[in-house]
Amino acid sequence: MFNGNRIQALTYIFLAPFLILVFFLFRFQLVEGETYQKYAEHNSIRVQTIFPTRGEIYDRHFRPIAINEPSHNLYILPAKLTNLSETAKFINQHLPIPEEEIKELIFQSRFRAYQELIIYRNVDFQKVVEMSEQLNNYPSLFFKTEHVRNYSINNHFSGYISKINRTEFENYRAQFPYSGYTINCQIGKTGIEREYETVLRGKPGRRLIQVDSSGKLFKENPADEEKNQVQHGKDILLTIDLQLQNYIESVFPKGYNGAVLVLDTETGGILSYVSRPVFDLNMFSRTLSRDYWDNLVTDPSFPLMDRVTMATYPPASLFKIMMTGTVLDNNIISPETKLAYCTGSYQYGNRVYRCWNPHGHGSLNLSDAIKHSCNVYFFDLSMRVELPLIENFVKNNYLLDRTGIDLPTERTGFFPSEEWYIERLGSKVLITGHKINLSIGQGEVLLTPIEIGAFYNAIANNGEWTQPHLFSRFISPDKNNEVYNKPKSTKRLDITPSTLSFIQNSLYRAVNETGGTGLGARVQGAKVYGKTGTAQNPAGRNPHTWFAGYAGWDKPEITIVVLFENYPGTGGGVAAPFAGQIIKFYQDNVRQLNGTIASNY
Amino acid sequence: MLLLKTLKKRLRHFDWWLFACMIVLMIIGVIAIYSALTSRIGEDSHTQSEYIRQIVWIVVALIIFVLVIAIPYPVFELMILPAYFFSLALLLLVLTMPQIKGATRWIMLGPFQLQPAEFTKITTILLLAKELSKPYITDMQILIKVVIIGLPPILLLLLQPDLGSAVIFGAIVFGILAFSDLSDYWLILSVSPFIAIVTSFYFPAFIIFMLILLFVLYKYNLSWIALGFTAVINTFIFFLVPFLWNGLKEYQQNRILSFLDPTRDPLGAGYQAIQSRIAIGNGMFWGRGFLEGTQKNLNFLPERHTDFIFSVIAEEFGFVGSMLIIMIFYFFIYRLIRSLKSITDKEQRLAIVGIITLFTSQAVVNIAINLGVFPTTGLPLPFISYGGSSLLANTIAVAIIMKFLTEKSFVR
Repeated sequence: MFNGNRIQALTYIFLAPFLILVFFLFRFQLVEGETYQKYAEHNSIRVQTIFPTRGEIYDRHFRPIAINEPSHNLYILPAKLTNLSETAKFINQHLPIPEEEIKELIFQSRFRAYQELIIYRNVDFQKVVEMSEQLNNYPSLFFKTEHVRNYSINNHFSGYISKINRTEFENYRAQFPYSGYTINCQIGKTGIEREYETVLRGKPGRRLIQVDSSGKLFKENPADEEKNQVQHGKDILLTIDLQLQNYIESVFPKGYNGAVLVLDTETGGILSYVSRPVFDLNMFSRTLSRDYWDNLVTDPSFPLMDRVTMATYPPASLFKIMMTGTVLDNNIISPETKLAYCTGSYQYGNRVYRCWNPHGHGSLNLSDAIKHSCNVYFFDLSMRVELPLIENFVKNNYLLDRTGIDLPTERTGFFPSEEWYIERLGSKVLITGHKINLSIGQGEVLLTPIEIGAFYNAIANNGEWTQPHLFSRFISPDKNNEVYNKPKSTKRLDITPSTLSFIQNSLYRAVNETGGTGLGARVQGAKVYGKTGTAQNPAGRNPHTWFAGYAGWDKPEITIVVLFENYPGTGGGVAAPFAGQIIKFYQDNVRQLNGTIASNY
Repeated sequence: MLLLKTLKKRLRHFDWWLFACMIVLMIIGVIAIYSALTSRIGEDSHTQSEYIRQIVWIVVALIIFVLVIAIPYPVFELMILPAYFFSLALLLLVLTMPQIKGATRWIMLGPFQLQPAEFTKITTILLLAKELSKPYITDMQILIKVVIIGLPPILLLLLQPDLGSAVIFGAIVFGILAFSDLSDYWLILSVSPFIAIVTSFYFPAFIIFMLILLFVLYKYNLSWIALGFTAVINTFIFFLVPFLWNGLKEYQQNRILSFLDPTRDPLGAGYQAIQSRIAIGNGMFWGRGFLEGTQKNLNFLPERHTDFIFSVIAEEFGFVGSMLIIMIFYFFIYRLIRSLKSITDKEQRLAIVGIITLFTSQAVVNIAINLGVFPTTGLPLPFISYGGSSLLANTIAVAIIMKFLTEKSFVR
């Protein structure tokens, strides 16, 4: 195949494709060059993202919790920037952002000159007017009226939205590539806002426009409008009852911290979720000032901490119910067994353990011991029960699991095992002393209010354990109800029916019989069950006071957990009456207006 | 002394023009990469530092260039088969790598990325040349060898998916086949299915193609059996294509469709073609000037330091600049063709033909993509695009030809 002529021919054969290229170059650069130059100068196709409106959050009766309100935002378009430092100075004169920060922002998007960058959210209307007068001199700056998140109540469950950070941006971008996450957008940082972020967010739409080189709209191109329709975020209805929530917030002792949880017994839907202290959620969706943030972080009362799901406490006497379950189901004593005669204290070795009542309760059976919350009875009881049995009971009744509430940051409680003690103390003998403490919910055992709520709720529910939740349903943007049955896990407590009814009966006696510690929770017309608790603070500060219980009319309807941190008084003296107040309000207002609530999630 | 003498003797056959072309293209590449990664907004100018990396790659490539020439020829011959299998193994390995921009084309080696496809092109050319140049080889043996050697890399490339490299492979295989001892009938028969695929999208075109094909075959005085066989094969392909088309991924279909009509999806598959052609057209006769390309500066150009580097040059240096590039490339090809005259070994000639096809198809297809007259598929412009693998592979290809030239005086 190779000879001189053939090789000669090759030089022409391989010239041909290059000549074709020359033809096209000639055509595009010389013949049609001016057309393309015009395209380049005046005419470029750009994508305009239409951002979706974030879904709003409402309570069970469509009362607003987090809604969108109009806001004036200041933007900059780097391509139109004439003098960076002068512009930065101008912004700095009116708004509290350092010039360096503005310059950095613009530098970061140097390759996206036509991307509008947000400089400041929610500029005061007065400032908008002031600045607008001078905007002629700064063609790169402009205001846009957009939405800002507004929270009707300060709370921990809804969470807040705030500007996305670098790592969050990269994660969301990788996980949801078509959801239009940009480095300027706001995302749900905590609570419901974060848990349902992608649903609330929606999907951005896209519009094709042709712009000239200064970024001015030249022509809209409706061609692909259809396949890029914006999908606004869905609204979310929570199980929260805002009326009850607001009431509890308003009567919560001023200046004190703690948590109050009210559950819809049958469904596990949360009616009220109060954690004190709170902070101003609205500060985050606007431009958060450094001072405010620093104050929040350094505040010794940890306002950022959600005390319902993220804080653990010694359960104190609330734990006596768990002890009761353990000993009855393991046949260690019978309900009628009377233990050590209570003289106000109990001696073990050379230590004396005190009952809350220094005069003593005398000789009691189990039910009476619960009713009076007698410590000595349970001290003595702890002598008869092995630690692993208690541990098993706690574990088997889901007290050490996350309840699975639809919030992103839930902590779990703690119960010490024998191994745990041995690892730390090296000796088995000492465990007995710890067991005495554990029997009244002191010492190493720690639980979150929501774990306690879920447990007592299951007691109220005849052993049916239901996952606590805030979500009720989605409402799509056209306001159609979109019922979405999120599977809520239900399981049974590991308690025999007879023990369960014994516990229920004892809880009833504690609230309704003379001498019961929970008397303060009594409400005329309602059937209230409950247990009080007072967790001693070794540091000499005021104790944590507890009430956990439930109230029913035809049947148990709401479950309540009340916790006051370092509050002067006892569970019976403070927390129980507070629970009673809530039940009364519920009975008189919420219940009367709406009938039973269990029908809607 | 003897070494120096040998060296001197060798250098006499060294093609300095060819070498110069390569160096000039590399320098143009560095300048273009510098420009491509510089962006100006107002008075603010910013350059990314990839051009320095490219210079480092050039130095490495030149060292390897010398090494390839220095390897004794018998050793080189022995290395062909293992090198082929090694490069295939790398292509297999690449499939296990994480995806980058929807394809797995790179093997990560710390900060470096290796693109085995580039090296496989050369090892395949060498093995094909070696096998097809054996004496007394029959048509059937040629075809079988081509399938055995050529098909595995093409299939592996399609899995990545790297459509661009697969197309280049097709061209290379065809180029080598055309100069092998294969008889014309079989050559035509083996190429006709590809034309059948293209024409099968439009029935009248397919009919015309079939008529021409059968006419040519008839002119060769072939038996009716051969004619019938050809007709059946091509008709079968005509009916098969719709199935294959549906087997393509949507974005691949989009690329092909938007080639036919770039305005069809101006933001997706057609976006790059449109923006790149605007940049090229915007260059006009003299160009916008170095670092002044507006399409480039305003970030309208995608992948502008790799696959679309030609449009950066065309925008900034205009028709003059683009013509210069094309002329250098053609002169480079011309020197390669010319080397065939002084080389008589059949295997070496086939290898050179393969390398010529490689460079021509890569350069032409890449520029055609930039011009928006060929479907957009990732493919570097030899010696100019940013990237070590392609630079190394192309330099090795030139080194191999230089090796043939300088060693021919004493081998065989």
